[in-house]
Amino acid sequence: MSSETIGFMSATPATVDSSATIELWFSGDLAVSRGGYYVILDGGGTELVALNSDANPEVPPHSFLPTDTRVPVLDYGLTGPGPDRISLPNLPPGQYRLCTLNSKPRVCVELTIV
Amino acid sequence: MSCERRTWITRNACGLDRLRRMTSTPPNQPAQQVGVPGAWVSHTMSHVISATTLGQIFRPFVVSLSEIPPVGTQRTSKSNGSNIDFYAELTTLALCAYRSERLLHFHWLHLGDRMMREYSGDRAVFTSVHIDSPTAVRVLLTNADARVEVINGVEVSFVRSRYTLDDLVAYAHQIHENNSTVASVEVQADIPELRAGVLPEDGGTLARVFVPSVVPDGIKVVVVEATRELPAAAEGARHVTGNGCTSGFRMNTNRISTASHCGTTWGTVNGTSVTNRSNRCVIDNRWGSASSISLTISGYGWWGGQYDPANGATVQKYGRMTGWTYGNAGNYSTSQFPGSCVVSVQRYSGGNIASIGGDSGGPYLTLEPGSPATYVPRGTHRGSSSGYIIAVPISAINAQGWYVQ
Repeated sequence: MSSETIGFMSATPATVDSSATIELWFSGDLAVSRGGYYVILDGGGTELVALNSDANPEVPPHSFLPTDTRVPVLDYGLTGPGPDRISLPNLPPGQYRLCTLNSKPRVCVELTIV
Repeated sequence: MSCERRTWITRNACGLDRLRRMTSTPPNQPAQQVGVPGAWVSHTMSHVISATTLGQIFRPFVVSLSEIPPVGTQRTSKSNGSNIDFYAELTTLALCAYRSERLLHFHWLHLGDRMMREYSGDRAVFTSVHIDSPTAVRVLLTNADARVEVINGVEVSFVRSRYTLDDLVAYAHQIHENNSTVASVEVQADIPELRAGVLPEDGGTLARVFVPSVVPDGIKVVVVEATRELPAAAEGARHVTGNGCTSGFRMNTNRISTASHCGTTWGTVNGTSVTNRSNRCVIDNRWGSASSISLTISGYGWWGGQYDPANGATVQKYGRMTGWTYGNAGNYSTSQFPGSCVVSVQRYSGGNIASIGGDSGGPYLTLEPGSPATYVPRGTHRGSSSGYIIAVPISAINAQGWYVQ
């Protein structure tokens, strides 16, 4: 099915220490329905790590390599504006992008790890 | 029961259910061939759609299309309030098609849409717009000066009507409210005619319906036998409102399924309240009970058996967020998120198969040709992994004592 979707995501704070917890807020179609998984990309667009938020109590937050064939992305649905909390993995300081992994539309926010 | 017209347009409404309505010929209304090869039409809808084009748009459902007898164009002898629904239905189909980037030329539907946009807002004069054929559209207004305009090859006839749509709907309400045995009143705006549907088992008769004096003599009132609308039942391929997932199948006769990882709050499924009953982690299935649960999925009944698809077989998948998509069954694998069960899954790829958050629990099935076509359960949706869509195969679900039935 193809349909136009418009959704927005914001992260607070956007500048964090490594391994910090951030809150994600949503509007538009993402507030109506979204998946629970995200991917962190480096400045070159390489997917570094996938992770899910704490929004579904049945699926505790965990992170994994996007290339790990053993770990599934579960397609449960979430609703509402958030906040959904994610715990960042240990990453070196720098500029990153945090993007939705199993939501439509796919949107990203900039993250600075100091 | 309300006599208000139903509106069928819903968001993301490009699914199997819609296609079946659009292409099915109603019972007891035999098709007529009037000479347009390769075109399809329902007798209750004055539209023509290329079967080939539909097949391209809805490739997974070509089997069901092939069962529909070929018929040609039919100019409507009458149109009605419901035709506005039909028109809206067609426009939605065109939109679905447009979005699929496979079909761009339903210009006559766009023209009908344009006429609705331009005229339906003026309730003081608007009666109706009718798409009678790919080359003929009628616009009924109480202040129209009779004329015909040719727009993009379509004849648009402006016809002066005597009553506005709001007038006719008000008269329909009058009849409904003054007859306890009238279940519905259908407005046929261009005749104009009001069709009162009575339920004989409720004591209504086809002969007697009280017509209030407020209804003008110029409006014909006919009485027809109405069909009782069954209450909604929880069924597969629906939104589980409480946990945001998708329902799968009716299982063990009195349970409806979704994914175990979706959580315990069901809310409603197809408008029916569902209570969480149990779940089983190793097959990522959860079950709930409801006052009524249907085996039907998108209008298709259960075939009677259930088994995994062969490797390479094409299987249809439904998720509430991605609708009906299809892909090819692949190898079996295992799937585990940290700290949880190891789940046997079957991988899918190819076709247009897709999934995003909200699809979990949805059904995988194939259609068995027949009259009517029926579905064979193949599995329930779990998620994705390394480029594959993954489903819990129906054999694994059966092995745990849960059966579609």
